[in-house]
Amino acid sequence: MDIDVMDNEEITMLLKYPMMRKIVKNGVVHYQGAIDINEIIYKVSVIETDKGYIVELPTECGHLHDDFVALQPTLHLRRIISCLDALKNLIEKNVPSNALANNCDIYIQVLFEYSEFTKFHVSLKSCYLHHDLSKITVKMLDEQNKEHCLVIKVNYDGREIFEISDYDLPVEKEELKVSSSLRVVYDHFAGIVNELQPYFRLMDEFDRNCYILDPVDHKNRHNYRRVWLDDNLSMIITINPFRMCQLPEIKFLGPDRLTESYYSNINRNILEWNANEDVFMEILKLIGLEEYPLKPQITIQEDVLVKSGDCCICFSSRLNNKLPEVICKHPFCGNSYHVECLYEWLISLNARKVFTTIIGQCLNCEKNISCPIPS
Amino acid sequence: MQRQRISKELSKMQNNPPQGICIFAKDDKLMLESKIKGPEGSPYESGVFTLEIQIPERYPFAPPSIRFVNRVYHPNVDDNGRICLDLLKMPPSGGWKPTIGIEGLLIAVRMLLDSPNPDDPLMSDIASEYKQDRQEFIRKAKECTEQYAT
Repeated sequence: MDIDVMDNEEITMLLKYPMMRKIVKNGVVHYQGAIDINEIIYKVSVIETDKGYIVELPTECGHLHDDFVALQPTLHLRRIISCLDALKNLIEKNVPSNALANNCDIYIQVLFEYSEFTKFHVSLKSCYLHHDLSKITVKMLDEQNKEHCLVIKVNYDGREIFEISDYDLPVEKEELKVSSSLRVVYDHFAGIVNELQPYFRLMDEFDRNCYILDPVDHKNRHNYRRVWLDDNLSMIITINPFRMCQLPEIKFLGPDRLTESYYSNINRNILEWNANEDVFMEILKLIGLEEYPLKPQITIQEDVLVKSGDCCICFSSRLNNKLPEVICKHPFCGNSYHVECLYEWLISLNARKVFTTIIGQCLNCEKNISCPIPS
Repeated sequence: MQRQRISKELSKMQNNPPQGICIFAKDDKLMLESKIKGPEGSPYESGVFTLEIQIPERYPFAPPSIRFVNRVYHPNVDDNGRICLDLLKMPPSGGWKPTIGIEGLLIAVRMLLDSPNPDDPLMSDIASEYKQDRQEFIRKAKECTEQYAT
């Protein structure tokens, strides 16, 4: 006689999870019901298969799906109790017991802060609260009518509520304020923008008056410019945004015979650096030029494969955001390479390594060239 | 980096093709096909030759493999269309350099049709014929071109 008996396994389960039921349908074993975790009832459905348990996670825990899949190999196959225990642990760990109550408080604060904020900061260009209360997008205009966009994220995990998650300034994220007051976060940001006005003016001046090779699509956070000086010659000027009076870092890229004279100009003129004057013109004086060279009149043919200053191995100027740094020292050659590209080529030729460099031949002039071994 | 460079090379060659050469990508960018016109004044003059170009994983640090799809009667091309060309091999035995590129190789292959190199042959009988009985060589090369590449 066929009797539907309850096995020990099921009894163990019921003792711990009394709201679960074992159902056998067409030879497939299902467990359905609910489990109570911190006084919240989660609906659970588990199917037993040869490869383990397939668990349909409660809708409110959908985001834990991948974590649960990762747990699978550690589960004791054919022991439903271990599967439910693992699920319970996972939910307990990831969903704070009083999450719902907490979030309510945060919702109220976000809404309150937001409405106060839009009331008082009428100078904002735009300010939107996202429908799910997850972030606030703000656009503001600075003194020079330059637009700044920032995204303020709402933290629901017990940290300070408002945190700037997306912005475009040459500052580290750690330097921005995190607070439970939206105004404090914003005012601090606006303060930095204000402080950076001279920096923005200088960068704009470069962008307007020089032929900038890099960054092509410059943003406020880019505190350097690679300025075209001549075929095969450019300089990278790096500005300290908060110390404009400080001597900027200037690096020339090009064959030695061209860069040497510029470096000696700097050495000669450095004593005349006057931090109180216009930095843009002071840099010009420093490098010993009358004016910044304009974009060459003869427009570079678009379908030239390798432009001057491009890496002649990957045929581009930017590789993983780095510009070619190795330049053939031989006069009249001056071919440029990315460190990674030249290294890769020399290594495939079994070139000789000497300490931290690898030595081979320039692909163009075949004279010796050395390349630092990338870390 | 590799794909970017290949795209660049392809678009340059398509906008401004070298003489007698055209190229296009097959299903993906790692397999290319090129058509080259036989150089004028050579026995291959009347033909259009199809070449298969396989870009290796390590391109441009390793040279592409290029092969004739048509049959070619030439001291440096074997029955399977393989080409004996210095630039297609890695140094130290060969002369490949990343700066050469696909266009450079195709130009070199076309030049090879124009001036065979019988001193480094792949087909030694054709090479000795080329050296000793040029008339016969030209006749056979023309015949082969007309049969397989027109």
